[in-house]
Amino acid sequence: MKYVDDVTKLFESFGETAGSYQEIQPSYKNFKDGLTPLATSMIEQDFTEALPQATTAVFLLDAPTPPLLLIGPHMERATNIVTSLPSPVTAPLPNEATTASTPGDNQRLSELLRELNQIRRDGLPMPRKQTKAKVIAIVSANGGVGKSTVAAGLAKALGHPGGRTIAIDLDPQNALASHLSAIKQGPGLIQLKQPDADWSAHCLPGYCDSEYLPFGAGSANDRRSLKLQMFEDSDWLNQHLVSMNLSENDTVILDTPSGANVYSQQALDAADLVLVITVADAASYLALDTMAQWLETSRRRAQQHRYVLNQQEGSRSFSRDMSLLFQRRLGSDLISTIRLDHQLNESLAYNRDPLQFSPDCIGCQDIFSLARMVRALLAPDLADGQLAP
Amino acid sequence: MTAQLNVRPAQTWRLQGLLETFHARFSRWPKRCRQGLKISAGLMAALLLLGILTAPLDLYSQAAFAAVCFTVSLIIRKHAGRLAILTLITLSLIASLRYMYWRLTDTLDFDSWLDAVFGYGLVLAELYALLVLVFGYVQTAWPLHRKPQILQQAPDQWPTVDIFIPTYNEALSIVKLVVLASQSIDWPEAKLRVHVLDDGRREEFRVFCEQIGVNYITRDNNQHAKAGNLNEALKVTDGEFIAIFDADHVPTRSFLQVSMGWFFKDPNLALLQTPHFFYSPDPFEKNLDTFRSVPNEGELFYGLVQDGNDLWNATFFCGSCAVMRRTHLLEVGGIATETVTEDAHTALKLNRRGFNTAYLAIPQAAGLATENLSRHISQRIRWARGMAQIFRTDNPLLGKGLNLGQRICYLNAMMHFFYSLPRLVFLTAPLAYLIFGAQIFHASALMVTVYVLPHIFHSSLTNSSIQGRFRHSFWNEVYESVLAWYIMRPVLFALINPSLGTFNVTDKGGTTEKEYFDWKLARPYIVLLTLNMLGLAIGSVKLIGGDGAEVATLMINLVWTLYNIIIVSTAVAVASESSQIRSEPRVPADLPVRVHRQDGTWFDCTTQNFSQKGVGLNLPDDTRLCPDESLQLSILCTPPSSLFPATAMFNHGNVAGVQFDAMPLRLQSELVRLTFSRADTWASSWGNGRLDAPMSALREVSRIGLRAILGLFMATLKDGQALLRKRSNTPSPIDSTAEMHRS
Repeated sequence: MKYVDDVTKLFESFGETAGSYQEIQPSYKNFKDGLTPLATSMIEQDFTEALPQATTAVFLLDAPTPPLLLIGPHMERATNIVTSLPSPVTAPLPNEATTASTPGDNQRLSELLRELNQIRRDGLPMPRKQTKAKVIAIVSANGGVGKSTVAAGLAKALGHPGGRTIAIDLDPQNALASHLSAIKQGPGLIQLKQPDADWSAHCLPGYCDSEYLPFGAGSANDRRSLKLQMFEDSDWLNQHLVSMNLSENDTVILDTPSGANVYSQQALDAADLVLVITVADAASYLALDTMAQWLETSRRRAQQHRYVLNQQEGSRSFSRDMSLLFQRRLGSDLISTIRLDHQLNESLAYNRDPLQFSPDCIGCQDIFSLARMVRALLAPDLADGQLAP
Repeated sequence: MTAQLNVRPAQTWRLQGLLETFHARFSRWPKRCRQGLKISAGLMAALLLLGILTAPLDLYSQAAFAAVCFTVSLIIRKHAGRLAILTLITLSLIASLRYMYWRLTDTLDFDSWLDAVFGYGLVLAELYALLVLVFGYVQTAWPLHRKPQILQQAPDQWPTVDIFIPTYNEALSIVKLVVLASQSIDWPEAKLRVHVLDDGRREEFRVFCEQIGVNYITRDNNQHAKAGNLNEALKVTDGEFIAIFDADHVPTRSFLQVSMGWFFKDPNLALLQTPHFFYSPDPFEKNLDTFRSVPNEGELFYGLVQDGNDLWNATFFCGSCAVMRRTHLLEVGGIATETVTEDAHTALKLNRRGFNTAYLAIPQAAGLATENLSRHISQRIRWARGMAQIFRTDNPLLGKGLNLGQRICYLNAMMHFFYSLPRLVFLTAPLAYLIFGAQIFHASALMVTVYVLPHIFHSSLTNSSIQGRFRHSFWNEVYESVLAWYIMRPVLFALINPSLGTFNVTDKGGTTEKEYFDWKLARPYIVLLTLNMLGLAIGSVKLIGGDGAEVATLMINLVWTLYNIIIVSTAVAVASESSQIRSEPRVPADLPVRVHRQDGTWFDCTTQNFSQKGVGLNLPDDTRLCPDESLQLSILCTPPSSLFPATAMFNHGNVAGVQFDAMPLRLQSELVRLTFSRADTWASSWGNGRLDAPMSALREVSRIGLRAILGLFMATLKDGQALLRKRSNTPSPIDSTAEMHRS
């Protein structure tokens, strides 16, 4: 049902068009009743407080959703709603540094919330990955490090004989689709968030026999309700994966938005292997600690965490030094370094698959070697299999 | 004209089309020819009319003539258009004037002084009725159907508007709605100033105004009530235009953009009035259960009479829902303070000064009707008193500045309120014969029949054709009967000495918790009813037992008495107040809504109605809400609305009731803008009533009347028993009539 424009109807009733009608909303800036977005700042603060030591860490929440659903006259009401979220987006902080001096009410409330989340976490069974396919989650602390590029590269290079490779885009930025296909069509997972939605049927074909499910274009309301579902149900992604009826020869790659948010949390809860993409600069380095903390507190049994250093520039000494520091810091957890190669970026612009168009470039070579490492991690008993050329 | 467009138009008379083509051709003739034709046609028509009116006919010829006229009327009635209406009016006037001529020349031949007193009384009442009928035809035969002017200018050229919301003792919850809606009118923010004029000087109002950023104006006295309040506010504001809303009249967001266009088009325009629409039932509709099936009392005035006034440039101000130009208003000295209907008086002064007044028959504001009968009556008493005061102090027939049409329209508006004595005369006239045996009508019964019946039938038919959508037949008599006794004295006193009497404020809002019968208020009706019953009884006895000499006369009087009984018993029914469980009246509306539940799921549905506190929802088939469930509602529009927190109250089948929780002012304002301020809610249910069908209206009124008589009987028994019990239990010195006031 549509909202009928009241002014149009009125004007039509006396035979005029409403074309010249000026709609002028009142500005509410003069409204002061002390009941407005106190709750907003409180919740946003919680998210940013989660990783306090990241000074320049960009923990993006996709589109600052005005949590109007949390505005209420009393703090108690806001508490009621928020605590129905089982899995905390704000990870419990063992050694939290209280950064900002929050007003008393906010601080007390966020502490209560964290306690409650901790109790829940310890009490509830961990969300179990249930699907038989191998699930890889691509995460990062900062933005722009190349998650979607790496995820797409892996989706194309990780072909397993007899199995499907499916890349799922959990990032509202919806960028994965462009890496994997020239054509954009079809609904994404934001339109398919009901439990009975058939994700398998909606997977689109990508380059190199891969398949992908885009995030999809949705309205703010859709995103809001998707996030609500994810808050409510930490098993949401798991259940959808189960419904796809995958076999152990299939591989699922999850592309997430940067930072610790509800999407990447869902990915963590479903992954066998978590690949953290970093770049060789100071911001990423400084974010390593907090990233590690987040991963630790979310770690499932038998889940592997590895790091990938992306966009390394051999020509600059700073980059070389930084990568050395990363290697020392991460040791064997750093499984691959991908050198900076503009081919990957340009291929996106020209709508072509770099692994086919210029497979000899250094970026592609590095992606192939990453794929080999990943394969070894996921199926260590198998010999190194064929890789897609 | 909105009313016009909401109904499928009947066939316009073909004759009208022919005449129009003739007229087109005629206007091309040379001037002398045209003048000559006009004069000769006029003369011939005048002579013909005179002949028709005064020709003395015997019984059979009169009967035949009347029958022919009536048949023609019935045929013409099927057609629409101006010519048809004018023809109906002409035929009706012929019948009525013939009747009056015959009445005045042939029937005023009395034998005794008793007869003379009653007889002249009746004739005067009839003359009043005829005068009002004629003026009414003049007023309503040709409504102007003004359409709104769309604003051509860019918003930066729009003028500044001050919105005045005068309040005295209304609750904040009611005024809050008006203030929030006024603030969200679609008008540039810098040019829209909202002022709350609080004569009660209440702190909570001041705090509220400060919270949302509207002006709060008080004065240190309460002289001249609302008029004084407005005048004081005029002194401290400076907007070019003034819009006035009563404390319970909620404007739509399109109010200004719909009304202001005419002010640009006509620089001499001082006032634009829009209808008062009520979204809650008035005491008649509530107690007789006729809400939205029978047009309410105000619809005739706002739907037709003001539209007719507009043709003659005689629209008058009704105190609210209007826009005025400051310069013109100040020229006549602000709002008039000499009488208690300051609104009509101000418009009269404006017209006298030569300014124009206009009316747009599009409801762009809606309010609460009077709560119960006693408040309704005090409001009408104030109007009647005020109109009588104006009649005495500033009579429209005298003084300069008005043209003839304006004089007639204003005069009719005032004379309308003098109906009390004539109505009481009509309600008791047959008793003069039945009880006292007075011969007040010197004519044979049959002659009376052939003269009176055409007069009554024609006027009913014509009024039904003109007013059918805005007033059903016979309801006029009911409204007058209810108020006649109460406005008689104030009107008489005001006519004698206009400076007597004070302004009594009509208070709005509140709950009548229990059903009760307002004995005190209903006393006059009960007296009239008893008298008429007595007359009926005596007359029937005489009919059955007496000789056959006066059968016809008895029959006529008995029928008349029966008619009076029906009318008066309906008036009694209005005094039986039904209980009103909900204090918030609900407005039917069909808005798409998305409901978010606490578990994260959501569903879409439509509203059934909304009120200030909540909405009623039509749930989809598979969804049920639990009582006390917390919800978030958002109204699906572009852009989508914010989420409004609410709690489910009940869920019966597909229907759920949801109450909004306490919200910050910003959300309250948005909610008002999306519900009450919708531009089309009131306009879409305006003038959509059932068309009048006189016979079924009579049936309806009779049914209500009979039920009322039964109800009265039961109430007498119940309250009588209660009274007896009380008497037997505690012999107290308290006045028993006070006890009987509330059951």
